[in-house]
Amino acid sequence: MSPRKRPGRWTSISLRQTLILGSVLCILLPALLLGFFQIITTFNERIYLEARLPLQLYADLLSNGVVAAVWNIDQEAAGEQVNAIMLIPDIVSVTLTDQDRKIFASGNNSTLSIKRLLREDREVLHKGEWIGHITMVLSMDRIYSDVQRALTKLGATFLAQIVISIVFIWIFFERCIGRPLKSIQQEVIRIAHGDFNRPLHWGRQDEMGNLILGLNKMRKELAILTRDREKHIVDLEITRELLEKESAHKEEREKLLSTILEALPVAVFAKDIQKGFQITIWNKKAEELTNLKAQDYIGKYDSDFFPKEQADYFRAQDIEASKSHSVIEIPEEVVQIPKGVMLFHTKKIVIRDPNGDPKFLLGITEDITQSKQVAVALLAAKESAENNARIKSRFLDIAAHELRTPLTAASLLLQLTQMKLTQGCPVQVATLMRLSAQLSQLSHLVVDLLDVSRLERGVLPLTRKPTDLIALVSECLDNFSLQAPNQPIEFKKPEYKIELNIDPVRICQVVSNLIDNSIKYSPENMPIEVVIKKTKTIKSQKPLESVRISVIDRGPGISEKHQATLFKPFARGAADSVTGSSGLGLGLFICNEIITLHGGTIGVKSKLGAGATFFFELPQISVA
Amino acid sequence: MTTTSNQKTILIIEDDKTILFTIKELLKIEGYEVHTAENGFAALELLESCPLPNLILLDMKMPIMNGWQFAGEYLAKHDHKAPIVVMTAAADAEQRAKDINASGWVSKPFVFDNFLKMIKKHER
Repeated sequence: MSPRKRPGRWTSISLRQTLILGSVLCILLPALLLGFFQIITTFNERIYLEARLPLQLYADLLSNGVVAAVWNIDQEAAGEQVNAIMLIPDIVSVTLTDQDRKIFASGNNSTLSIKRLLREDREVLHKGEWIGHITMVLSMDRIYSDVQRALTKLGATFLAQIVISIVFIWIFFERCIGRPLKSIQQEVIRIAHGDFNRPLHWGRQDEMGNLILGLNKMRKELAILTRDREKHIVDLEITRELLEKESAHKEEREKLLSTILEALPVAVFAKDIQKGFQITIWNKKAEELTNLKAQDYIGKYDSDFFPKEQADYFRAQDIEASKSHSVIEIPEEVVQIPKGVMLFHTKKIVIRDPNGDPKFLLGITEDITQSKQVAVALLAAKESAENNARIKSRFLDIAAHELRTPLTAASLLLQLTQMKLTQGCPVQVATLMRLSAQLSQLSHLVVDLLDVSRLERGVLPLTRKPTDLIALVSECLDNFSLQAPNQPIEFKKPEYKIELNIDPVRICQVVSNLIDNSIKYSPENMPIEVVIKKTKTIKSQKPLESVRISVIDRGPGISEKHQATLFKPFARGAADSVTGSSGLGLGLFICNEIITLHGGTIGVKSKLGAGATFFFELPQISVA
Repeated sequence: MTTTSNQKTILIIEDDKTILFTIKELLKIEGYEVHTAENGFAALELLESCPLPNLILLDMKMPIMNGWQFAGEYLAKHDHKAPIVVMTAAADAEQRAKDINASGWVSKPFVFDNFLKMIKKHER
């Protein structure tokens, strides 16, 4: 590329001006040269014709006349000739000299200007011999003046011709070139400013016409192109706006996606399959779950952070998932992470590129460590609740059965009594006693049920008062001597008095229950032992004085398995319900609760076939 | 077991002595000859030595041998020669009767008149 020229003073001249100036110069310069040459020629010709030629002619005439009249002999004749010459206008002086350079005739016109003079020297020869010398001086002023006038006229004419020529050239250029050029220029300016609606008209089929036609065609093409361009610009603008909107939308969507990703309550991660399962996404929850920061983990591999065995496990899972076309679910995976051993529920799915090749492996992981623990606890609670419900349901069956049995007996006894009375037979006392016993049994069952209900609600009140324990137990035993006169009971008691702050009714209830059970399971005539003695128990790592009351029977004994549930409510086994054991099975539970309320303990020692020892211990707190 | 020609015999198997005694007394008033057993085992022993009764009234929950065990043994040996009516204090009396393929059932407590109708309906 050539360096750009700086605009000079000539570059600002328009083409029209240049053409006109050029044309004028083309005409003017030859005209000036021609004029100058003509003036010089005219001047020289006029000088020659009006000055030099006449002067030579006069010299010739004088020379010939003088010689003819005998040179310097007839000075008068010479003088006349000289005077005659002097009559000629513009002759300033005439001098005739002889061989000795002696003036013998002369004339002088002093009125003439002598500013510009022309001198003519002529030697006079006679028969080949120099006989004298003629000197003539001519004033050039008038001739110059005439020539000057003539030249002025000539110059004026010339100038007039030039001016006319310029005017004609101007008009010509203006009409043929200037005006169309100006129009073209304005058109080009209009086109440059985007105005394509004014076509140029030029009537002639010359080059200018062709140029304007071409320009018009170009204008039309440009108009179309411009319209297209404007349309394209509009389209481009619309496209640009759409792209901007799309870009903003995309950005917003990406931002939203990123926010969602970070806010998700599950760990989300992605691995680049083509880069050997390199981590590319690691959200906030994943950070929380693993204590591995995204900034540290992204771009790395499992093997960089996890123990080899764990990393190998992940890799095997990833490889398997990347071959699959569906979601791979790992319901429970034990993961060793810096935080510790955790239980994860993970789903993995392959994201493929448009060619269907595996690109990313997306993983979603939930920490189910706690929920699993909760689920296990819930399951246990559910099983426990169901078990309790089953136990209670069975208990209700048992309770209903146990209530219906004395009720049936009582009902039948009443119907029998009624029938006998109707038939006029006497009612036997034994029948009424049987009826009373059945009602008493019903009453006991109802009391037990009420006690259990109160215990479950925690509203079983104790009415403590200082009580002589030995007297209390003796009183209980007396009742049994009436109820079961055939059952021998041995009472082993200390010699000293034991006074405790207890609820005597409730403690009597416990003692009676234990004795009642023992009687029920003891073979006939085998004695039951009731033993009271002081003992020491360790409570809250402190030795505590207490009293132990034991009821010992020689019955079939109780298995260890059965012992474990003896003191629990509603815990009678299914076998009991069909083997015929009567009662609600609540007695020992109630005993346990009463003793616990007294701050004591209850228990059993037994072996199958070796009898059973039921005992309870009451703390011996000083009676205030 | 000795019976008069028209007198029907009923065997009551019931562990509750009061119920056993009372039903026996009531049925005797109604003209039945009544035999009793306090468990299934005692009943089977009784049936070994006596002719079959016209009806067996059977409690289900008993010590030593319960109603299910008795029914199993009895039906294996005697089929339904003497029909069984179940007497039970359980809520699902009907189900218990079906369990042992009994002829009828009565739910404790019961009104004696209804009980008697049930006996008359099923007795041989």
